[in-house]
Amino acid sequence: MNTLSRRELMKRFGAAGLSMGLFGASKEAWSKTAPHIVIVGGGIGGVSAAKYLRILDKNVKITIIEPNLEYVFCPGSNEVLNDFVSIEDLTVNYENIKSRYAVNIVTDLATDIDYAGKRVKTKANGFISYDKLIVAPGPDYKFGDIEGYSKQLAEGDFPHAWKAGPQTMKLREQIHNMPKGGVVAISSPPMPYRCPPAPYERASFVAEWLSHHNPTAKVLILDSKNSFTFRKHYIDYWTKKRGFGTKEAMIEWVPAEKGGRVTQLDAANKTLVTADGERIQADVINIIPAHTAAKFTHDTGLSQGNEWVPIDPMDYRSMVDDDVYVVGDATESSPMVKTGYLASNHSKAVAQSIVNSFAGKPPVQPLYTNNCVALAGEDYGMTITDTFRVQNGKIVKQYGHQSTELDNDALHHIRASLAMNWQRAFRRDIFE
Amino acid sequence: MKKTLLVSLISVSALFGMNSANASGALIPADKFAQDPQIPGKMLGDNCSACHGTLGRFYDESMPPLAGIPRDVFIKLMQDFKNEVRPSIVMNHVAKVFTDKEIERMADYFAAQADRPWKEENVLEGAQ
Amino acid sequence: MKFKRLLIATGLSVFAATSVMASSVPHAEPWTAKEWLDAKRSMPQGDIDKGKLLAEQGYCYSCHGVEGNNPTQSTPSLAGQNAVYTYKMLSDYKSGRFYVDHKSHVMVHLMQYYDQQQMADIAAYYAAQPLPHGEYISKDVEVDPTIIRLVAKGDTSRMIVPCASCHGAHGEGGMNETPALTGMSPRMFIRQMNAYKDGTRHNDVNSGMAQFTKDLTDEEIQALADYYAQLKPRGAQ
Repeated sequence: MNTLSRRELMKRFGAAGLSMGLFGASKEAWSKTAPHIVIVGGGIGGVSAAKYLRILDKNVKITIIEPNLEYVFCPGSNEVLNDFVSIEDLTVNYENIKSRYAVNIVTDLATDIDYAGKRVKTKANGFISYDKLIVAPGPDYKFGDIEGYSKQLAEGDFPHAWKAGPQTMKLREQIHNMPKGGVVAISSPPMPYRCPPAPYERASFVAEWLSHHNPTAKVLILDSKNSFTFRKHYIDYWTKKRGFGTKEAMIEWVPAEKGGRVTQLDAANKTLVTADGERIQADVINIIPAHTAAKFTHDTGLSQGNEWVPIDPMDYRSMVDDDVYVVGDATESSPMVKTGYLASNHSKAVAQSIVNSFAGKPPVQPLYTNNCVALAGEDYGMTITDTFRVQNGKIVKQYGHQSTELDNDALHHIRASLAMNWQRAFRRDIFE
Repeated sequence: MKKTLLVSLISVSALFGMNSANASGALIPADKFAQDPQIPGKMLGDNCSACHGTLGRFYDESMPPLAGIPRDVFIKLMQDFKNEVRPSIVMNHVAKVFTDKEIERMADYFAAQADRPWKEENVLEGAQ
Repeated sequence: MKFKRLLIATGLSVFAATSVMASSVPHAEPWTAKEWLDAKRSMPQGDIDKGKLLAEQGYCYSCHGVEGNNPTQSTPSLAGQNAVYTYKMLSDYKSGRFYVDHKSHVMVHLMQYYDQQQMADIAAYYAAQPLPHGEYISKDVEVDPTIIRLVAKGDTSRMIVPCASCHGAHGEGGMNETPALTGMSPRMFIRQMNAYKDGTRHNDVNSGMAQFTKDLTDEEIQALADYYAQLKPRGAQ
């Protein structure tokens, strides 16, 4: 284990620091003694934490440090690829959080934590002092796992589009402009990664668009796994709608055991190389890279040398410092999967714990549910209901259920309607 | 020391977690958790917000608002879901994890929420 | 669209109501009186037992409650409802004539899988159940006498006919396709009245209902909602 001791941390930052005078701008007249809660990251986890904290406590100062002016929701973003929704439908800004919940928004990048001085270092605004820090940075991508792939290529002609935004639009454009009969290759990553059914949902929506506009084109899923979430549902849908398993199949799925694991990208020749050495050329290449916790958590020692940030599941407190919490996809939360739904629920536990700690009370016993949806088409939805409890400092999966019915078209259609309702309600629960 | 132990425990559970992503697991009956410290109604109820709205207060979606539901009505609904009296699409699987006491605490929580849309709420009312 | 503009105007996060794949909603012209009469005449005889099975297997209970008795406020109870009304509503969802907003989506899609006979069976089953009542009464509701007058006598100055003349003295419905209103959730009632008023609900033949809503004030609609929520069916204790 690679734990950063407090002494080491002290050494890294030293005792001296900039004084901070950032909050002259705040309109709210917080008392001088009001505790300051700083949140790194303005995604689902970070904004949920801010909102639910404010609901619990009107008298604390809350600041979100987030480099982007807008946030684009990932849930629903696969539907941008076939124009079922527009990216604008999924885009929000921070005005509402700022005005309605009196949260300071600092548009900046957090780069380090001075644990001893209880300050976050930012790229442009110097240090920001906190009483409690919530880190909600999401995942980063291990581009190096696929030789020849890089962040630069992802931002160029090989978008992973695994964080909704410009890359989603780029991928959409590539698919829409693909030559007749072309191939879209999707490389699906090993677990754990954000939103397990999403690569297959993506393949489904891409195929839906192609079936209308480029019916001889194909979607090839090259998988680093041997199975996937909702596999029965997706295979059922693809078999009924996309000729899956036949010569005319519009979607093909290659599991790792059949040579599906991609190890290399030959960008110049638009070719993927698999673990078996097979070379597969495609017109559109969408590599979803393996994940790791955000760089910020590695740089600050929060991950303690692990792939994911260890936390105390009682209240998502970090193992490094009692005043620092980490939520969402960046955390080691197995057997939970990485979803926005869970990230928002981590944040509710954190908000409650912080308010309790100000009152000198211990954290409350938590509950974490993951009641999520996925789609195969506008007429086919799926649902998952997971419940997690905490016993003896461990996360226990009390129940996990995935919808199983295959031969009930009406039910699939209801679930699709529910899924879309869920997406909307979920977005509103975080940002409205 | 305590924390080191926790980390090693978590690492073990991580190994199991890798394999569980694709499985529907068996239900551990709620009563097995009856001796655990109580989960407050708010903690239980706030898990519902993604579908039913913040504090159960979305009134313009298909999933019904929960704020202001009379205690006994909520309990009856949840018990019916839990015991599969009404076939349902999602809620059976949501409800069956809770103890009777937890359902009662959730009922108290939602009965105490203001019965009006969240979007009308002045969140900062009372801010200093 | 109105919803979207409103959100922008109030500075809230903008989540468009259009993001519900509205492209797939069927479109039909509003009913003409003759078309509806023909449709009503060709309504099959419903089978209560078959309807019960369909309701159970079709997951109706999930939202509309056990045996059509639903105490939450976003979906109506169906128990005791006029069979012709239920049949017409199911048909209107199927044809897209009833598509008020994103909340209509579930039913519009679901009804694509049902034929006329099945709709008639479901309608017959629910009509055979007792009309629920007393579920939404808040203790301090006192019915305004002017509202009782509006229900029983109408308001000739505004050309509003008495509600009871079509919906029944006990709100049990029954004149043609007019629905029962007794025991209805006040939120549901208000939502429907406002949808008639602003034109988003227009599946009533010849604006038979919408015309009366235009002149009603918000206060009157609220009072009518409270009135019908507390009304008891004929013979109920």
